[in-house]
Amino acid sequence: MEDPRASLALDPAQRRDLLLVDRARSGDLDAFNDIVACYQDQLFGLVARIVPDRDQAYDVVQEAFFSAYRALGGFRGGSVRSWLSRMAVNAAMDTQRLRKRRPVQPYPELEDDSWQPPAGEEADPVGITLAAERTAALGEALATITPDQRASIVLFDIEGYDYAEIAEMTGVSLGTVKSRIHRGRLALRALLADRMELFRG
Amino acid sequence: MADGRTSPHGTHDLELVAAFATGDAAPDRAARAAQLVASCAHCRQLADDVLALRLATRAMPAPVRTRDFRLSPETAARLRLASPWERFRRSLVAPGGLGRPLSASLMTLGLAGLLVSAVPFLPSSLGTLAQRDATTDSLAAPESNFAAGGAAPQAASTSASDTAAGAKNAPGASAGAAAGPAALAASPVVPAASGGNERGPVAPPLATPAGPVADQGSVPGAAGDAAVGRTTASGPATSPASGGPILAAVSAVALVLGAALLVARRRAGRA
Repeated sequence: MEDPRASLALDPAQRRDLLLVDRARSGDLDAFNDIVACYQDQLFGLVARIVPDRDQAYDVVQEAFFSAYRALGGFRGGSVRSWLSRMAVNAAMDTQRLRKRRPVQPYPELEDDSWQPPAGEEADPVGITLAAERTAALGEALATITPDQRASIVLFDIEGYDYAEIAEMTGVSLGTVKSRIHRGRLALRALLADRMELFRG
Repeated sequence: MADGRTSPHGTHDLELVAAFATGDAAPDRAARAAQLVASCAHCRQLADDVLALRLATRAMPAPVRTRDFRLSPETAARLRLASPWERFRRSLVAPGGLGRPLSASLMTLGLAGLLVSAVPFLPSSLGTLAQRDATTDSLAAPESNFAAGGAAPQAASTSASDTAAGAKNAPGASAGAAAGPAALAASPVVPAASGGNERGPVAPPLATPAGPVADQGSVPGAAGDAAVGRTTASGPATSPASGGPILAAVSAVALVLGAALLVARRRAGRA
């Protein structure tokens, strides 16, 4: 069997992360902040898709980094990205469970002009409008499905984690992860049944 | 589009089709999924839509972060210096922490304890039953001793009768007066007859207060009933009286703690 340490040693990003964690453990705050700088965009992107409310998403990411700082001594090696993502996902799911009875405006950034999909090479106004409409519709539907399904879809389709990693992060079985993803996609399709033309072709 | 509920499509495994569309169907079920997609137009459309949605999800632009999450030295110091009590408190009020199950458990135990302490006959009856069993056990031995060595009390009774009969013949003596000493003289025979058993000496103290000397055969039973009666009267009266208020106080404290924890969690949630 392949030694995981050997494979880690081959990955420069992970080797850098482990060095930073070692320095942070010894009290080097700059090293920890380097880790934050490396992963805050990715973590915020992940959490903001799971937690539709922007302010809550910020709080969740901040709390995840606080938890990571407190738990530096308990880090047992492996992928720092997965470790941070696990904390963020757990915090996000806790927030969703806590706030599930309080409806919020889903994805307010979609109403914000400062947040628009990047323009393509053609910068076709029709294409840009369609892409924005598609993103808005999909975001709205994502905010409607269950938090478990949403988190699984985001982790798999957007963040690129495999089933086993998602199962470890969310603490459920592999079959449950697959089921959540497939049922979530079916739910998305049902929610977008009237607007599927946006996505076809 | 036809209604899927009335067509055969309604009976198809849509989750399998969704998995197949993105290449996630298990090998042993992929053939079935492929057959569904090939033979059912709705399943084919579903597979196309699921794939399109997956691609659109992947193409969603990343939310733009406008806040920096790097820690300031003050924040880091605060996180480092958080006391164990503070961490424990946070774990109690944090969503998904220990607070919810702990508060529920405390309130349940508190309510149950208050109910038990408020119902007087429940612990009393339990205590009476337990003590009655214990008393019956201790009394069973002398009775069995009498049963096993029944000749001894019988012999004692006989000898007492003989003595009394003999006394009748004595001038100036009454049968009633003679029976008393005769029976008292016979009663020490009981421990002597059952002397082989270590519980034997228990019998005379029980038999002696019963007093009625006339009926020797009923002495052990009557004494036993009297003993049970005394135990029943005194046992439950002391046990709940000493444990009831304590149980009620502990239950009340648990109930209050659970409620306080619940309120603290709700406040933290609102904050």
